[in-house]
Amino acid sequence: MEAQNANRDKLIVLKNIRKSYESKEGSILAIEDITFEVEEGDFVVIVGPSGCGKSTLLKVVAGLLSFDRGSIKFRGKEISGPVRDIGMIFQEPALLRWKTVIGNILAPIELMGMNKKEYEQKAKELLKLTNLGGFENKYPSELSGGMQQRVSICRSLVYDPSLLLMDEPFGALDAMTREKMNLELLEIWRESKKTILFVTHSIPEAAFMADSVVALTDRPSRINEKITIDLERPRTLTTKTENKYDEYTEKLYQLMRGEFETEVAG
Amino acid sequence: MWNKLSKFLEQIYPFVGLLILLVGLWQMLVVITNIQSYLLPSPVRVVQALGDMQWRWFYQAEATSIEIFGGFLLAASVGILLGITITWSNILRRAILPMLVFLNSLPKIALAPLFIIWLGYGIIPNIVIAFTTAFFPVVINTAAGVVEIDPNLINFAKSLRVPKWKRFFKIRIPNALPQIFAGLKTSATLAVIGAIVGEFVASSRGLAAVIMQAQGILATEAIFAALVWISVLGLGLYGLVALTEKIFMPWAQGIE
Repeated sequence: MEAQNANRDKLIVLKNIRKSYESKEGSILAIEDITFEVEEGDFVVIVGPSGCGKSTLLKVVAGLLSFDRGSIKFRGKEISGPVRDIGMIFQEPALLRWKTVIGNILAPIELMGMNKKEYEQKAKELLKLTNLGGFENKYPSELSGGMQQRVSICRSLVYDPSLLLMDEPFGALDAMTREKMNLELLEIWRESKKTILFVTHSIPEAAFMADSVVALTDRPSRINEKITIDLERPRTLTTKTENKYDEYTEKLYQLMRGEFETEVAG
Repeated sequence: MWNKLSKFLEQIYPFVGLLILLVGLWQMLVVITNIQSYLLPSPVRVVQALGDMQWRWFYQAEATSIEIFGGFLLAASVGILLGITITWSNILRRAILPMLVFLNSLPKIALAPLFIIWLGYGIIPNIVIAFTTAFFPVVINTAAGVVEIDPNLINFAKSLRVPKWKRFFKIRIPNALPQIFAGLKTSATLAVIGAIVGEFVASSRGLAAVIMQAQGILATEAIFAALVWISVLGLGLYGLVALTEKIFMPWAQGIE
């Protein structure tokens, strides 16, 4: 894989990231030593047991949390804080409840002091792309959880960052909606040609979505293994009936098994 | 339009029905027991007192409304400003908050004579008393609303490199609106109490002054009539605050 993609641009490179934080019980090591890279256009999934520090890692990449050691390079330049070319989508939609759907989608434009008028057309196209046409003047409280998360995705696409960080974005949704949102996200990814770094604790979701999976150990997080998922694109529901899909999930389950056992024992 | 009206009637008829029933019982009680009017006047006598212009109702209600509304507007503006100030910076909070807690621990009624010594006799000291009684919940609710926020709303703005002052005014403050209005509603009722207390302590004009005068001559029906006026003013202010809330927060409709 390395040789095959050598000519592709590395969008983001993490090297020896270590992160600890202070708590009442003293210093806790959340991330021990993490090194990996994401190439432009890739869909990379970080998977690991709950509480292992996946979200912390994502917030570090977003520049929302500092780190103790290591380096993060984005487009070859070292970064140490938020970058507007990196967008973040949270587990909860984190919408502004006082703004309508269209107001929420245009909120980044407004907050960055740019001209909202110029982006209205784009916002409407995004609504169409995410099947939210006709809802632009509703308030978040009038939408279902899945729809709210779609608005949150539109909000991150409107200002066109090249890298999207997604922190278990569908974790709060029911299984059916979640499946549907996964398919929709793959479609959005294909159309917008974004790079996505996606965190989940669901192995089937990881195998279904990813070009490659970074499997983390339990806290303190280290990289257990990196797996390339070589399933055909575009992926559909029949992807899940392929033998290769089962092999990947089986392999990921085996990797995680050790982690689950320590979790139970702890 | 008719649909809206019939919905409204459907909403209020249980309350109106109960009110009519209670007033009817009151009237019957007075007639049956033949109780002395200075102890408990009948509703009919109270209505007569409301129409009796020797009490100069409009003149008195004008003074009390100025005190209530003036005190409330002061409480709202100073309260919101202070609430925002103490959340903006830690140093300001540490300086101002203990002072506020100390002032709030005093029974405001006990301060009334001071304001009268300082400000004289009349409407102005009563506005100040209404203000001191009403402003604390606005400060606390504003501050709590600004501080209590989904951290990811702030993270979202931080990821866009939005500066602190802009995060504050574009995210924290609109996010605090529901709590600010909750504070304003509490404050509206307290402003009424403050104005009345002020008039009790020293005043020749106002609805509470009428109550004092009526008590002196055992015109109990005028006391009841003054209470009707006070509750009308109180409800009016509360209604205005609720209406403003609807205008400022159209997104919160349907939550009730």
